[in-house]
Amino acid sequence: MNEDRFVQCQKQLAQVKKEFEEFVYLVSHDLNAPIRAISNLLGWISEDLGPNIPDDVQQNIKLLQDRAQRLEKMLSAILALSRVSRTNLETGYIELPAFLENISEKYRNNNSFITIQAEPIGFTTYYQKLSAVINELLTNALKHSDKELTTIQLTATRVNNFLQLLITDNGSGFAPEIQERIFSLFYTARSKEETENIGAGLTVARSITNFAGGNLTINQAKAGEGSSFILLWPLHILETT
Amino acid sequence: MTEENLINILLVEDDEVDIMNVQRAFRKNNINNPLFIARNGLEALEMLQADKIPKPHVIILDINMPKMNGLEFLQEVRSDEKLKRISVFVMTTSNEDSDKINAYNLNVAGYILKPLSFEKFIQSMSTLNSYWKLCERPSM
Ligand SMILES: [Mg+2]
Repeated sequence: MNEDRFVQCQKQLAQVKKEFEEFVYLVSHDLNAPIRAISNLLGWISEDLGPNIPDDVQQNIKLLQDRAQRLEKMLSAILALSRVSRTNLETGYIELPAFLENISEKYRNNNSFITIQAEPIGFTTYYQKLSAVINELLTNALKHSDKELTTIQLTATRVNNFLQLLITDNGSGFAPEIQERIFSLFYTARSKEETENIGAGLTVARSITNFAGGNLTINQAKAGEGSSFILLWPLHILETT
Repeated sequence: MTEENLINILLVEDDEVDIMNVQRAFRKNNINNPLFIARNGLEALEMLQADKIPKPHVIILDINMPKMNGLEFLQEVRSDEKLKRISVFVMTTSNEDSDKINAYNLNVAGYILKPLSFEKFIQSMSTLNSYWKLCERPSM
């Protein structure tokens, strides 16, 4: 392939990507209105019927509301994915460990113990995007914890032109055979009946990381040993087209 | 105008259920302000310019609507000598920065996302209500 043809292909690819994102945005945005309406109307019906609804009717209304809510959450996850390349594009200078301290602070409570070990690294980056990814990884660790006290260790080092952040927890981890699947959209490790989780957080986190030119993987020896995520994040802002 | 007078509110919204949502929220929170309704920007503009309704102090405005969308309507309002001072709250599902920037450039009093921040909207409404009672304003 000659160079002109290559450049042309790249342009076409960028165009198709843009059209796809616009399509996804439009679809998920416009589907939201009728779902919200269903949700509202259900709420009003049960409100208006008052307390004397038969139990099975009450139960069915609740199930219907749950499903409508799940649908709403799924759509907003699709929306979030379609907006990765268009939102939070502000860049700013951040310093470690302060940046990690700030994010971790709101996850610290009686049931969680978060330690941070970081080389002093300062760099300019899509700080909102990096923050979103770290927030998701912490949320994920706490959500899947089966321990009374969840411990999370954040270790940040500089590896060539990347920040390498290890997020290790003492949870039950993921079985090796599902380790790649946890990044798929709408995959949940537990049945959707048992969890409010819709299985989109890690998908969005990986998509954001890829956008920034980084890499997000899980690294864990065996099930039951807690999970360890490895985030590689570029220390320089990459030119994206 | 006397102190007891409640401010008039115009709701510009194309979705029937969203209209019911506002009406129910008003009832639930004992907000008794007169509420007028237009189904799109064009209808609202005609109502305002032909004085079909008492001039509202506040407009609650959806963005995605047929015929004339919220931002186009807002542009018309801001360039109309008689209407340009009205406080406008955008209430939309659009979380796009471009819509927010365009709206604030047209001097909106607030930008509210449906439906999560509805509580905030109700709070703003009652705040605005007391605010208007406190303030002197030009006779309309
Ligand atoms: Mg609409």
